Formats: sequence, structure tokens, C-alpha cells
Amino acid sequence: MSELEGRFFLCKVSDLVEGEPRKFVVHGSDVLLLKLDGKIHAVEPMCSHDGTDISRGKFSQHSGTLECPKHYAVFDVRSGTPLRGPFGADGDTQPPLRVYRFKIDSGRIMLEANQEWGVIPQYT
Amino acid sequence: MAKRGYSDNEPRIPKGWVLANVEQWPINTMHGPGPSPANWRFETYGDVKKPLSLTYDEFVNLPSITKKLDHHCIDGWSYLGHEWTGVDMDTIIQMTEPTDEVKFIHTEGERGYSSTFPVGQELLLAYKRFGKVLPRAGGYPVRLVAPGEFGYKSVKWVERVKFISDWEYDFWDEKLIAWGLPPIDPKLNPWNVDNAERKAGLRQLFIHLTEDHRREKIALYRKKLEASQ
Repeated sequence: MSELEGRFFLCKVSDLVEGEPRKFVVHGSDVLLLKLDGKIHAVEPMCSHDGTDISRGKFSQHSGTLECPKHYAVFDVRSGTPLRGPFGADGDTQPPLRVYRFKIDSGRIMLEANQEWGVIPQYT
Repeated sequence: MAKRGYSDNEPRIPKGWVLANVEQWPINTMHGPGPSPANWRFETYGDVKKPLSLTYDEFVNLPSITKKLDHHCIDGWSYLGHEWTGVDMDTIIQMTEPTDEVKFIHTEGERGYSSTFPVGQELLLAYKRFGKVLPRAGGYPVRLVAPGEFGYKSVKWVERVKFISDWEYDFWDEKLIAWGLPPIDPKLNPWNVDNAERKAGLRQLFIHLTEDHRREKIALYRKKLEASQ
């Protein structure tokens, strides 16, 4: 990973496989890249219930969701929206997953980040 | 205060809550457990005539009770039928003899976690669950069980109990105030959560909590980075 004008190179688009999330660490923040129906999404894999790392949670290509392995909260990886709280509870009180901004430059996935602010979130 | 959280109590779970049907006991902690304390003591202080300082062996040899109680998480799920064994707070009150002015109990755990309750509320200082000594993550040596309250009130890794005459903010009150949110009204029915106002408040709380968690994670990363350079 290298820094280029406030952007970090994570990997090439061709490195990502559908249904196989990949985790990166940028300035101490975890970033999860997922490929869904050919489109790439970048989220912070931190459950908004208790901070559990959900990068190893169950990823459903069919529904585009990621399930927390600890208490089973479910999030839409495209928007970060919580669809279900822990154990199927109403997700109304759960904040969304943080969604990250990135650009694709000549097939390279570049995340917007800098030393001062860390990874730049894309609020939805 | 009316007893809540028993199997014969209706409704058994807060409105809108779901039952967690899991084999494993789900454990939430703010900080995660540190190492087991080598010289743990249970202490009472504040406005008491006889401050206590008991070893673990002395504590578990006090008169004990076993109760089946339900656990309700503020996050919207309940887990029914825990069997807890421990010392009733009334036993501690009889031993430590609070003064007549005492109206509240401030229970303190490791790392600054605490909960305040009015004297008279049912509280159990538990050291066993389903007959087995608590795991460290579950509160060993002793944890509080506050039936009818949400789980965050049940302090794990209890070290001290302070008897006080004036209400004292506890861990979550202090945190909410630091975030610019109002502290929890102790007169509010904790189960009255199925309304937009309470849900919006909870959502704000979780946003702040996640942000704190994120900051701590990045600070730890930077500290490790500096140490390696």
C-alpha cells in the first residue's frame, strides 16, 4: 500500500473476487472491500452495536448483506444501512456502517485518506 | 419498586424486544475483561457504620440465594432464565449498617464502571451462573444482577459498594453528559422504550459509542506504530 496525493492504493479491481471480502488497514482504520454484482463497495467492518469486527461475518451475495458474527446484526453493504439489530431486534437504534469514498484509477482502487484525518468516510 | 424480570411476570420482555435463542451466553462489555485480580476484595464504604472488606472466600461463604432471572439488553433482545447464585444486597446492607440518611447504592466495578440504584431495589451480587463459577468475561469474581433493568446496569467485576444520601451519576450518566446528552432519568420506567423519542436517544448514544470505539482503535494503532519506530 502506498500514499499518492492523499489516496491509498488498496488493490487492483481484478484482485477482488465476487463474494470474497478483503480487509485492509489504513491509518489504523479497517476497510473492507466487497464486490457485489460487479460493483465494488468499501465499508468499515465495525458493528455499530458493540464494535465487533464483522469482516469475518457472513456475507450474502444474494441480499448484499453482511451479518455480525457475534450477535447477528445485519447490514446492507451498499449503503451501510442496518437491516436488523442483534438477534433480529429492530435495527432502528443501530447507526449505519461507515461507508468509505474511493476512486478507481486505471483499474486500481484508491481510497481517500490522509495522515491527519485517516480514512475519509462517505456519509449516506 | 415492583419486581420485574421473573418468569411469572407479564409482560416478560419489553415491547418490541426479541428473544435471543442461542446456546452460548452472549457477553457484552464496554472494555472487555482485564486479567483476574490477584487480591480481589469486596468492600463497602460511604455512610456506613461497619465498612466491609471481604476476600473472595469470605464473600462466597456469606448466606447465598439462587434465583432464575431474565436478562434484557438495551439493544433489543432478551435472554430468559438465567440461574444466578450470589449474595442478596439486603444481606450486605444488614452487615454494613448504612446510616438512616442513606437513600442510594452506588455499585462500582473495575475500570470506573458503576451503577446507582435506590435503596430497596432488588439487587443480587452473583458469583455463579447455572451453578458454575462465573467466567472472567461474565463478571468473575462477582457481578451485579439487577432484575428488570437493562443489562448495562448490572455491573461486572464488582469491587466496591458505596452507600450515599444523594443521587450520584454513574458510568453511563457521566458518559451521556460528556457527549452532550441528558443523563438517564432514574424515575423513568426502563422498559418504556417502544417510542420514537427513546429510540432516537438510543441511536445517538450508539453513534457516540461507535465513535469512541473508533478513536480508541486508531489511538492504539498509532501508539503501536510509534513504539515500533
